[in-house]
Amino acid sequence: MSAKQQLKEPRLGLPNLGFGVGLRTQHLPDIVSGGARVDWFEIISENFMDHAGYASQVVDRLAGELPIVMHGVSLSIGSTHPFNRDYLDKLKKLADRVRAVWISDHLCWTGLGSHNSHDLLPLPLHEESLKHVTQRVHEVQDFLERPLVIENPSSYVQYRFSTMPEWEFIARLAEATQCGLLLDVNNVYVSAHNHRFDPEHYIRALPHKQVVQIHLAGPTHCGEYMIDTHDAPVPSRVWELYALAQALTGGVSTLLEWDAQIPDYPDLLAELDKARRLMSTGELPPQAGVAESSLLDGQLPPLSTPIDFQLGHFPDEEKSIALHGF
Amino acid sequence: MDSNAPPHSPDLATTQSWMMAAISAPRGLPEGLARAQKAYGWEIEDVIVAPPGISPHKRLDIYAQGYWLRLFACLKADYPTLQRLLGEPLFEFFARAYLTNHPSRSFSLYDLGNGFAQFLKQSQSASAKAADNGALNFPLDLALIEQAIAASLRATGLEGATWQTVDPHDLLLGGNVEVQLPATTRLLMANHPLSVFLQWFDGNDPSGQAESRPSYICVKRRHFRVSCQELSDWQYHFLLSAQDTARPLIDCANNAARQTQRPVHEILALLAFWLPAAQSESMLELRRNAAENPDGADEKQ
Repeated sequence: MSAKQQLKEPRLGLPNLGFGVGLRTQHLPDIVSGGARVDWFEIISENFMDHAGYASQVVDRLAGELPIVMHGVSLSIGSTHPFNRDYLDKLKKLADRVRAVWISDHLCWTGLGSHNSHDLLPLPLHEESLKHVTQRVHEVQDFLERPLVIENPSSYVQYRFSTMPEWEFIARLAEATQCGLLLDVNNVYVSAHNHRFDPEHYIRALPHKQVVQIHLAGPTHCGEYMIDTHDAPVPSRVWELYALAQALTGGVSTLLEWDAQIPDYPDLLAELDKARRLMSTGELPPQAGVAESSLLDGQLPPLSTPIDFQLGHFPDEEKSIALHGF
Repeated sequence: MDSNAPPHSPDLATTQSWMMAAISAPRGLPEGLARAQKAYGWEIEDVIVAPPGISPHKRLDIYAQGYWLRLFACLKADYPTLQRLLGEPLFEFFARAYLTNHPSRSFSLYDLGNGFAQFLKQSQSASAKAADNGALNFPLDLALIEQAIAASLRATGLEGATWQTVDPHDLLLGGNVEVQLPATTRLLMANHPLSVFLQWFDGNDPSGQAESRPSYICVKRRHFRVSCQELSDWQYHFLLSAQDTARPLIDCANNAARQTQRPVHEILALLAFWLPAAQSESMLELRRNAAENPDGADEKQ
């Protein structure tokens, strides 16, 4: 299918992959011994660009067995500094290597050329930033020769000089670039709480034909604000937003993220099964609240954008399994 | 979004520079805001809005605290034993100093800790260096070993590679054979025996002053499993010769002989026994010259 034809198709011609999880090194022994038991995996792009260890070998093998989607945290699409060409080269090579079905990253900026924060920092939302990001998305899509999929971020601040809401910014960006959208319903929930807007209005305002994937995760409630910690089960309100998004899109790929206090693989699969049941029966999972963190004076808040999943360390038992091969 | 937005909002580049200055100061958000105000002339209220009754400082502080927590967590992941040895407050003190002087310039968190061990070494005061104190040397050596382990885990190794069986006569004569180290093999000189470091890596916290003597340590990876081994002086100098590029075996043997003041024929005799084992441990690769092995015979995986 040509790129031009692809852009006319719903979801850019990209398939509904079903139900998947973010691949984490902690789960590799279970996956190697017991099989994937999911329809597809999402990998963190940066984990495998300069990594030739055990996890990379497992990913190469998995790529021959089921679909792999690449999800990045360092593209920095909103930065005013030029793209890191080395990064883009490695992104493209990795996509070829694992035969990535699509490549996604966040609507954010992560740093300024020589100084990377490794956080997903929010953009001011105005005409200048929209023009800037539009031009950058075109640049990346031309380089990668495929649509880029952009995820809505969670955020804790807004800029005084923003002139449009995030849903309008994303809708206009999608229209101008024909990029795909990764709708993180947990991020919508977190930002809606933090900035006091209606999350359903946000989801209804997006161009649903360009949504190719949905992210699910569990945040942490810290009093008047929420943090996108990815360290807890999906709360009920996020399941409701998920059901709404699936109804509006007509059904797209579902991905469960869990990046800190990572549960055992069977427990992760049990959480993903809630999405499967919801989609097959229409019944929402049993009531589940948001994890709470009651911060005492001087105590640090939980970490947004946890980095466990970005480091790819091996527990000893994984090394032992690797020793015996698979 | 704010209906009271100023008519002439700053450009995107300036806004991002203000934000980075505000959230990445070593002593936290107050220092960052002061620096950002001095550089760009804006108070936090000029840039950030929060819902009614909510402090913009509290919200921006999520990013300012997250900046350091995230990078500390990354360094702790690469240097877990050093963190245990130093304790969290002291580890974070050094980590903050390192990150202040060497902010991340890479898209990959894998690169963040690359210079940490060297930074700790360079941060030693002149008097501490002069004292040659084992108590100070130990954490520095430990940091270097942990850095080597992290690098070895991620580097391209010999898994899946074919290797050649080399005739023992070639080893004894040192001819027609090249030596190359994979990127997973790392060599270090330390001030303590490997056994003391291994106690710490195994989760023990030995009390008392660590035994102090020079040691040569090799970090290596086989079948994706990283391990450490203490080397003899001649083994270390032999491998060191081929660390950066493939070298003729005889050149490496000559270097080992020079450094250890032994006759080269003695080194070659020792190598004839040791090299096959070292190769099977994926510590190194031995390759006969192409002319000697035109059809790639005798290759093993």
